[in-house]
Amino acid sequence: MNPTAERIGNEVERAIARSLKGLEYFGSPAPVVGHTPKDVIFERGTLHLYHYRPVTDEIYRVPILIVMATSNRGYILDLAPGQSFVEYLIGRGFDVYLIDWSPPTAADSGLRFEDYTLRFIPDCVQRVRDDTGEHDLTIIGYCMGGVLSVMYVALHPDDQPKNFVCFTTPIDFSRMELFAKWSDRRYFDVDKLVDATGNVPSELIFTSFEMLRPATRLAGQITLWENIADEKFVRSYRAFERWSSDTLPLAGEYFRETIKELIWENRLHRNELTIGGKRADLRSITAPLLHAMAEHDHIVPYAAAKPLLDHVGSTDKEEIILKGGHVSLVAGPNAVKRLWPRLDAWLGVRSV
Amino acid sequence: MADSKDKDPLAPWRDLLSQWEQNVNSLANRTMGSDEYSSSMNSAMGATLKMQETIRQFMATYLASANLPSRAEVLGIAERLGGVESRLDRITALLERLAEARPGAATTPASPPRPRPPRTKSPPKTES
Repeated sequence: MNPTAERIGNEVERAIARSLKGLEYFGSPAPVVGHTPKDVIFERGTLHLYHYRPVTDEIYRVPILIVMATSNRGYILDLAPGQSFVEYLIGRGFDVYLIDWSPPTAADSGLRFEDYTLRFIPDCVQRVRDDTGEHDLTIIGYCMGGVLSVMYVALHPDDQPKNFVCFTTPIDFSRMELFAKWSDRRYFDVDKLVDATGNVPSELIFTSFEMLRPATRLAGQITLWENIADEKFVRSYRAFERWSSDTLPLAGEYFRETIKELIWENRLHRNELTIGGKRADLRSITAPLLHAMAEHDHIVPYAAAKPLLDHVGSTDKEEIILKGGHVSLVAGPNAVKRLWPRLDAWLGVRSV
Repeated sequence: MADSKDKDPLAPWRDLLSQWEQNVNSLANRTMGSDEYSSSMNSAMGATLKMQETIRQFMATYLASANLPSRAEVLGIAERLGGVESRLDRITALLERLAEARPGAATTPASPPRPRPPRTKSPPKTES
């Protein structure tokens, strides 16, 4: 057969396979996520504290407490077998706890920074200590979970974690340029929004993230169609797609504080943030710190995250900048190869 | 690698798609980063909120006149149910712990006991 005819034949075969798989795709159920066995050890309203079941014969002495971002579901860290951060950690011998958030109800609309940093996280720290019998623990915060963790650690200078890890954690909110522009105080009436809605709807949060990269969804769908015969690609695409659409509403007062204190006044960066009458002084953070950032992060640009290392009082501190974006830093094939082994090496020697 | 790319008739199309995505994102970011965009976006949101508020007030009046509960009242009931469920969970957990603590008691725990391996692991020497 001549090469042109062969190529056309291959393309026709691929088109047929795509069509058949496409029909399967639309008829198949949503992908299963969050598969790693876990126990819920504490719940309070919007907060859920999970403990992942260890799988190794021995584990590191120091347990890990992960604080998930308030705008998204924690299963991004446990997406699918082989693509799960927590599965990787427990496989490497770490004892892992995770704070996950469910949608705040009308009763939660009054939650503020102080509820998260002086009640929720301290309560979970205590639960982990009670459950493990260990006082020391490592805190890992992702995105706004990292911001809340930074506030918590800064507010507790005499009770520092053994290790502190942040993933893509913004500190200088003036450098999150599009978010800062959209919430410009000259045009954006945050009081009117929160007073009218109670909790800020998830659709608004989802749209804000989508607007940062408006063409990416369509380009992703075209790429999906091209690769629809590739089961591994489709499974991964659907899991990510499910997660990115599964945005959480935000508690109204918490959102109001985020806009006014962090975006308008940039108080965390200026080291002037006061929570529950206590100053969250970043210089009070003295725990060993690792901050992982993504080179192409369109949500938390490097410039917004970078100042954390300069502000803290820790002497053992390190930042790593890896290829990838805001999500691919922590989940997906890039994370498996890049971030996870780096974290394992950094944390292992500090967890005995 | 280059060979396989040469054989892929769709490679130029993929490059084009990637280029298009980057260009559109970049253009949109420039447009959305302007004062005019921010102003008009927030005006539109203000108008939507005002409309929602008007509808909410109208619905509240209508539901009250039809002797039906409002959304706020249903949410209040849901919240109280949530409280009852949480309390039941705590009571169940307490009863399970009490039953397990009874000497010689035959219990069937709701889930298998959580593994508690020793906290003695050291980092592998080759990787340190």
